[in-house]
Amino acid sequence: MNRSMTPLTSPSHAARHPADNTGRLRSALSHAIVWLVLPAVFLLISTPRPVRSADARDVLDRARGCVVKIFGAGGFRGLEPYQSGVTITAEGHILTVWSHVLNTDFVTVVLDDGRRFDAEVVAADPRHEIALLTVDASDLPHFDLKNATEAPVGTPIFALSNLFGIASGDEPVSVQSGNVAARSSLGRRLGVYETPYQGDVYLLDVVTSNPGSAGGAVIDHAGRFVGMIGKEMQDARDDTWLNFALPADELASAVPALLGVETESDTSKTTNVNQPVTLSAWGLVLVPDVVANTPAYIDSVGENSAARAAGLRPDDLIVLVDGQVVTSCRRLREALEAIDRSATVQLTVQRGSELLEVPLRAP
Amino acid sequence: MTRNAPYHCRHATLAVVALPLIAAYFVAATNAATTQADSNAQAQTVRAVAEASAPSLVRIETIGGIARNRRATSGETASTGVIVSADGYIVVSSHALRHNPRSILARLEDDTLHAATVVAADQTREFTLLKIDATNTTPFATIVPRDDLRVGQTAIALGRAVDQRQVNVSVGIISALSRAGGRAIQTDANTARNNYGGALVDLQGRLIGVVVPVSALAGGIVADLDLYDSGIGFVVPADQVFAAVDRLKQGADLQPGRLGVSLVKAETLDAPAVVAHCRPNADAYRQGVRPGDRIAAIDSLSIDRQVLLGEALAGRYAGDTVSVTVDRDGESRDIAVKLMATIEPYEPPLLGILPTRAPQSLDTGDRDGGDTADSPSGVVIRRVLENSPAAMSDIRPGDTIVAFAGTEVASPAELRAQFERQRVGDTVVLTIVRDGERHVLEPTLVGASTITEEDLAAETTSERAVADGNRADDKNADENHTTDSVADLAPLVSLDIPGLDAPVACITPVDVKLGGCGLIVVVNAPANERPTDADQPDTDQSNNDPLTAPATEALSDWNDIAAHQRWVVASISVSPSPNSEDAIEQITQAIEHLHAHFGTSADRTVMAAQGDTALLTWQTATQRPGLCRGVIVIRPAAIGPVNEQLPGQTLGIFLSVGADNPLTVKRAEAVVNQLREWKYSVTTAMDAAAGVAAPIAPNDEMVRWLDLVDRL
Repeated sequence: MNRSMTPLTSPSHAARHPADNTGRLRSALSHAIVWLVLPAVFLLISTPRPVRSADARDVLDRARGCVVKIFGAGGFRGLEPYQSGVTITAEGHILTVWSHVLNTDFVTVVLDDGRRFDAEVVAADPRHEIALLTVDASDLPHFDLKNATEAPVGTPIFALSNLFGIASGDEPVSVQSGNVAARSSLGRRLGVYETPYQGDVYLLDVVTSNPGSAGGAVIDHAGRFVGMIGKEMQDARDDTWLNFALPADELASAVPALLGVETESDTSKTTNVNQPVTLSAWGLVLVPDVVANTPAYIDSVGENSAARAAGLRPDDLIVLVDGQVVTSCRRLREALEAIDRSATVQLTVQRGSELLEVPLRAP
Repeated sequence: MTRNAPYHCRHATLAVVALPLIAAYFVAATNAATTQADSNAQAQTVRAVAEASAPSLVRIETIGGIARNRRATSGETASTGVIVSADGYIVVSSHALRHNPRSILARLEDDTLHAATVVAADQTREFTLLKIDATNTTPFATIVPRDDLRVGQTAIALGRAVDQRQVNVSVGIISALSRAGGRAIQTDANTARNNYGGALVDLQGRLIGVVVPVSALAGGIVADLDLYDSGIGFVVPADQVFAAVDRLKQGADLQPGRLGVSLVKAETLDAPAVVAHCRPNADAYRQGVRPGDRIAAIDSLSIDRQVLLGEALAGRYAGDTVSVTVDRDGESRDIAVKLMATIEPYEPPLLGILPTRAPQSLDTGDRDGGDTADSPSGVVIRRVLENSPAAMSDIRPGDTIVAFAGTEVASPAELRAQFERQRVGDTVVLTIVRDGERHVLEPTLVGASTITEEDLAAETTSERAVADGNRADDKNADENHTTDSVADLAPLVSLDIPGLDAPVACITPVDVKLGGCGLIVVVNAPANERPTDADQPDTDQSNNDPLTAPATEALSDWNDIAAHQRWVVASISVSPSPNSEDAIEQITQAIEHLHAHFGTSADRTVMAAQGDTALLTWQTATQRPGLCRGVIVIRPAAIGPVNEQLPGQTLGIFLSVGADNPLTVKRAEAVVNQLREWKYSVTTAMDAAAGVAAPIAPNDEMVRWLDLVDRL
């Protein structure tokens, strides 16, 4: 299997071995200073320390109370009938990912203390692929999305989820340790994924893409909510799995609508293009698009065309449209569909080993 | 100049001074009271390291090319490159270029885009050197010498594949210092696609190495990207990267260096590295490494188990010279061997002559009669192959080769022994005697397989005349073969050979005792295991004498060839269980016994078999190299394995397939192609006889092939 769990290696734990640093210090300082420093270093190494401080245990004890196990539809064709969720109010609102598990009238939520509830799916946000459940409970420990935090690249995090359905009954969910690897949009840049969500995600350097993990919580070491583990997602191009979380700020903007709170209408981020620009308007013909990945080579340039005036030639390879890489004829056409005819488009073409900037505007 | 570039650059001050301080703070902070302070300190350190490294990390995007399979990243996936010089050299994972893209774009930290060209690839460590047209690129300021690394120390994998605007990070530890024969360091930092080609750095931002996919170095342990998120990542150490970069700048790929030996199969894990086969065209062979040698050390690394040999060579490049210490007969010797990228299969060289097979006594008797006191002994040539080096340097049938490269040769065996030291392309100095005069000729040997079947088949009249020339009664009398042959034959001989259940039937020329005979061993399944013809009722076998019934019948077709081409033909019965060591040993012993009895030699020994025994015969010939000179396999069930030939142990193959062949014609073609790739001389024929129970009978093609078996 290519989705085994990463060993729970704590980077900060590992970093406590200062061998390389002590070596550097020793060589740099005089003998006297060495004798001052060495005992300190010795102390530093030898002081017995728990793997996690008491604070960390508290943080995780609190956070695990806010992550629930969800059971519903599935159990066939490799679709597990369980996932994770996070409580976001004391009154039983549970945020999770929208998935096949919720595709039933009988969704069960199990808290970390073993209490079981029949849950109701009250709302779903197809754009974020998230859903809101309610259970008949009160005084639940929960993450307050208003106090959520942003996690810059490099932030050490804990990921809490019922991965592989290991936790049952009153057992709290499992904890993994890792770091924020990057924050980027789930658009084309990252890969090809079957999801309507194109917004930002946190990429994690720990394997959270596991059955049952979706809907779990990602928190920083202070216990603040950072994001929610996304559903399992595989890059259609190379079958690699994406380990990611939906950022708290994205969730915070989506939840009010799920709770039925009036918000300003969400204007679609994609602007409507009435008359997209076309290659023929510029006088460009590409090479025949015969294979899946045909590079966008120019086959011919029309007489008296805008492209000719701009200096484009046959055999030029179009590599960028407005700064975005276009890897094929198909990607080029897709990129142009989002650009209005009236706009000036910045093409970058490769001619030999030279890259040329060519501004183009349809006549 | 450029070699020092990575070590001295404008970021050196920042990296060397600032980062240790941050790291020291981090270390101190990890001891501080709160976890939050821990994590803040770590996050700050990681970000500082990422920022300091950012100028040396580039985003690589490719356009076009064809993904070889679904698991290969297509041209749409970005990857990371590491800048290794100030003048635009970049190292990337070869994995990122596997689809052979039409265009490679490198985007630097300042967002400038550059078209990159491939300089060369390090095939042992799976990275590729790119060049962009830039003169202000920023390599890593400092690298960590491998000896300074410790398992457990924090390591940060950095890439720019996720997003051009930021360096993506993954924090882990160094898990192992030596992997894949020393070519890699192992880390548990996530080295998935985002980080391929990226950098692994320590807490001070010093370059530990370049991230490559596990599969690239694991060599078949795992398929492709399977371990990409398992906490196992491979990193080529920075010092190895820079050493390779200096060589890659020459523009040629660095290929794995091969010694060209295979080892005796290990029965235990601590079995010594004893050479089973040394490839004749490998430098190791030229320098004198031979089967039976125990490889005791490579350079200073002691090889006391077989697995260590692979590890010792894993990181070495073709063209490198290593010192191989071998133990032979209790003596130890150091042999300097150049590792090679590719080793061509050994091909026996060919001069294009057939030596006389006349009995030595007859031969010399004739010469003595010519009363030339200094009349040399030598090798009389009975035939010269068309278009061969011999023909082109005007060697003629009837010439006597008396010296080879200045060494006198008295017999075909001596000539062959000299010949086996030569290689294709060598020019040899031959001294011949023609009409009492000495001539020195210098033909250049060609590969045995370069002579076409047409050239082999073409028989000149002069050849026939000389072939028979030593036998006055046969001269100019081709038509008389059949009638003469009966008279030439000794009665059927029946031999009891230890190890064989049934006596062996043999036919021989009458003058077999005069020597010079070849040996054809027809290997049959025992009578009770032989498939019987349904048309042939058991009652027909009224004669219960095992020799005279099937054996006599089986050999009667061989009378002509035995008489006229001086063959002893023997028919033995061996149970054809495949891979049977016992059966192979039985055949070997039988052949040795026959040699002793008839004075025949391996130089002109051929085995023939059909069906199930054909495979056994093939295995006997290949597992006992030197036992015979050729094999006739008729309608074999299978052929294999195919091993490389050795000088002096070459094997000619006559393969006959029929319509009812158990080995399909297509499969037979594949086998023949494989044999030819290994430079075997293969003659193929369609087998007309369909009855599986019919004994092997020589046809015209087979007779022609047999005549050529002892060619030089």
